[in-house]
Amino acid sequence: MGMGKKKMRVANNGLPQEIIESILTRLPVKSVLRFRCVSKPWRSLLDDPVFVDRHFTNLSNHLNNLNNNKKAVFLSPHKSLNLVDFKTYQSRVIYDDPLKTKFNGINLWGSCNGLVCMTTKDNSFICLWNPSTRKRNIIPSKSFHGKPSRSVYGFCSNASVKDYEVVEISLFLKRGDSEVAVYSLRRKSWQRIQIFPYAIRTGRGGVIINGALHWKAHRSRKNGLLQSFESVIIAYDAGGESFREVPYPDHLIRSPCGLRVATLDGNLCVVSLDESTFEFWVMKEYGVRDSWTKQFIIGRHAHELEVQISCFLAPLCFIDDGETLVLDNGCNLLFFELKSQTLRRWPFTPSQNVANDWSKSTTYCYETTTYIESLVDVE
Amino acid sequence: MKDSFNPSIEPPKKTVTLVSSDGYDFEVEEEVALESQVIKDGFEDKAVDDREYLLFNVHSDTLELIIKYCEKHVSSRKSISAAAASSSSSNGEEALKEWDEHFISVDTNTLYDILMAADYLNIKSLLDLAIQKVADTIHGRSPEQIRKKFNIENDSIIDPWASE
Repeated sequence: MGMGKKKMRVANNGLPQEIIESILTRLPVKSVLRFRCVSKPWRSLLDDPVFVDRHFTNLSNHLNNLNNNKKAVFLSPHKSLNLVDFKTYQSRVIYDDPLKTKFNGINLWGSCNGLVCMTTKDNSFICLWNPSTRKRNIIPSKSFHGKPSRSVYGFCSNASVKDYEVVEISLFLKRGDSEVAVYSLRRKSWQRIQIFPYAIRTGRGGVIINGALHWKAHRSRKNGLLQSFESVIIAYDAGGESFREVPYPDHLIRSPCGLRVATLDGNLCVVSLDESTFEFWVMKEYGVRDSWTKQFIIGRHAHELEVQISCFLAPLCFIDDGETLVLDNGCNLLFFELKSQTLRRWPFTPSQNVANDWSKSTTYCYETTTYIESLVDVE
Repeated sequence: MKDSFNPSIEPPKKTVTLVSSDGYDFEVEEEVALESQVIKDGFEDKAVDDREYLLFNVHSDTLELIIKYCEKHVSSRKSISAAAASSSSSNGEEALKEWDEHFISVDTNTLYDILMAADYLNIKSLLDLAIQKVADTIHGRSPEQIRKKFNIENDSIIDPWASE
């Protein structure tokens, strides 16, 4: 029963190296970062990409079992970026400022595996940032022929090849078309996507479902001189070279109101506004048109709250073991309790400046993305 | 052969003998011993009448705990699958989780002994349990406390990310 093992000790209390390594892969992100200064061997171990990988694998397995470990990054108009922990209902201001704009001119586009994607307001700089390790990576911007009227971004991982990708969709109003390019973190280069017969009218980042980025878009259809548009949901699979369409709920195709595409418990979700009722439609079986189901509604009674519900209402995540849904209301966060069907506002003490921020009904738009802490490298 | 005289009772379960590092014999049921991947791997090669394992690295105090753990897991697995087969609701997995948590709540030395034994015998679920327990006990410590705990010399590096 020979179990001979190499023993290159990083500690001297009898535990072999690989057991200590395994223990360290189970630690919370904060502890790992704190323990980097235990010793030089510990630091090089904890910085090792293989360790970071193992740590992230453990973390994602753990998070899948825990519904309560959700966090969100919240950009408020008062020049601050906040991290909200839905487990403790605490929030804190993030002082680290990777783009050095004092958060005064940034757009937040999304988050994946602990990395946050943001750009300067003019989109001249794209930044991938890990708020936990405070590492950032500024991506060289794509040079277009001419200045786009506006751009939207998406950020996703290509897990099979351990890559991350930034998708940039730029609209050229005068030319009446869009240009799409994908940046691969691994290749460190941009690549054009040639065929894109869509127009994106949202200013929101792509929504990740099943590893793919989703946006609401319009497909243009030329009929002689007339051009008509149809609402579609488009998806980009990481590592891909084109976009595909996901079936839209039939009766909503011609709906004039601003639907938002979102994710609800890992499923594709659209929110539609019918008079004063918000309907949350969920695609129960991904890709299957008939599986669109009206999961729940938020009715008129909600409008009696002091806070106004914006037409950009979208689900963010479930908390409290799935009993509460956090909603991004465009200018604040709302909590919808499924059992009692009631909407609550942010339950914070007024001493927190963030709460003050949010209690003011500003007309500014906030940007929110769910987030998990990780050690994942931005390079 | 006792059972030839008494065919109505169950045949005796096959057992193996585990010998601890301090020389004590533990006779356990085969399926309990097979929780250890190391024993399982070498099992087929061993002659049936020679199913004795000398565990040079496991003290009798620890071995007793390990056997207790394996027995519990073998019996729980059976009752969980029985409940599933009769489609009766059972909180077997929840109960086992609780049992595990109680089982692993031991002092540091015992925890390390279990950890080392689970590694040596390759009992994956127990190894996971013990590793998670150590992680849970150290995650809030300061670097200095960690150095003390793991007997690590302070090679004084100043870490800008160490601040809370």
